[in-house]
Amino acid sequence: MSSSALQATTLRILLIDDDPDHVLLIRRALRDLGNERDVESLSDGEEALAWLDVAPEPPDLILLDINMPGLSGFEVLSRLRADERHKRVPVVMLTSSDAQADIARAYELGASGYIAKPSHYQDLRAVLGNTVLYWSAMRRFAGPEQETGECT
Amino acid sequence: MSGLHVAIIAESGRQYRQLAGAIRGVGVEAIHDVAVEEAVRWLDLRPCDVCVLSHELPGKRTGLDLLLDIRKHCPDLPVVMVSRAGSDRVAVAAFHADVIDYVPISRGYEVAVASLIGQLKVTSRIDQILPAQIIPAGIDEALMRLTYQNRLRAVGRHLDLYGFRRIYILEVEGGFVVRATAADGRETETLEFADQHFPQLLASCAAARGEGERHWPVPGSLLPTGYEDFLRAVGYELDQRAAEAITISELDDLAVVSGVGRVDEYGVTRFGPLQWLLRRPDVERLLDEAYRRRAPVPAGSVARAGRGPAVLRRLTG
Repeated sequence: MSSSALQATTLRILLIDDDPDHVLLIRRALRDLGNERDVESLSDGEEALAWLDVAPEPPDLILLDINMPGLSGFEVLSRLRADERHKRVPVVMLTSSDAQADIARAYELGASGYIAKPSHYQDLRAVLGNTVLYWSAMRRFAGPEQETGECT
Repeated sequence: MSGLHVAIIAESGRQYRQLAGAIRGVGVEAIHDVAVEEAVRWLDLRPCDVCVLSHELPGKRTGLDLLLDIRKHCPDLPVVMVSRAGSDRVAVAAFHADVIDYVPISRGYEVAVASLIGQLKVTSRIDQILPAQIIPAGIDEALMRLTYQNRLRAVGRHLDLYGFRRIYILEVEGGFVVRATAADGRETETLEFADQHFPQLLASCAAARGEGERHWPVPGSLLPTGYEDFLRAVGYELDQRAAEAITISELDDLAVVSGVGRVDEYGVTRFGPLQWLLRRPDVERLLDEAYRRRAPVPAGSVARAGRGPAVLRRLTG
């Protein structure tokens, strides 16, 4: 992966969490990665789904808290994965530490990863770094999905 | 040797020695133990290249209080803050005060701090230490290729050797970041496997090949033969799928592999997101197939075609 390819990759992130401090950490981590981009922060699931409905294009990454008032993170994730427009957007769940059952359930519903709270800044950076690679690869595969001509 | 000057404002003498020891390990010799009460004046009079500041300090002042004072006199001084605070609140405040990084205090944090400092001025030092290619005599060149199979095997071997468990691997630009629980089960650590280290790691793996030199891990409920075997087998499948941007997460009874690669859909192979949920029977099948690939085919028998990821339950793609 060339760094120029990465620099061309920009991230638009939707944070669904009622902790505003996370926004600053995400912005900081993005800046470290050379991607100072949009971070939209919403505090509950209903609001987030409504925002996604009218957004001109899906975000590149959704960070989704599991424990929220109203619609839970699991319900939001289920709806996203059932929606053709959003089913390929990586969704990283924000969990309390060591919540193994929650993490397993999130993966079964289609989560892409998790960050245990209180979050380590390094974890956040790694997740964002991985997301940059993910979209670099997806965009190279013209598409986002390109038939290879191989049949199995 | 680097000419970098590092000031450490520590909570205790013990913390100073811990940090100074790790920082010396990256080739920095000019390390100064700066007392809290004279820190602002000291930094004002003696320009240094970077300051490591503990949020927890002796006395009533916190590191954040001190940082605000330091900023009045040394607005551009690179500061790395370390803290035992268990929330993001201190990290956020520290970043507001323009620290270059914030490192939570946990086992091995001093190594993370030293690594940051090493990156500031001693660029490419590791490249100078490690030969560009280390291929021991008699080692098959295929074992030294930077495939997922080889790289993940090397990561797995390291995890087995040091008794890590419950791993979370993320591929990032320049290598892998691994979150793992230490052998004592109390601390979670972050390990970095940079691309430039893999020639040495692969050489070490290749040299240790053979039953006599192998480190056998304690079997887990999900991974009966440890990480080296499991990650090598997963790596093979990822290579077959021309995967990129991978993550591997281990839970109590489930491992999840995801990334981008070739996925089969309705009889056609496409590129797209892939995700495999692996439970114990899936892991056993992967290991079984990996052993079959390695084992010589007995005379007169017909080798079974590897079933590959078709046996894995794919969630998306």
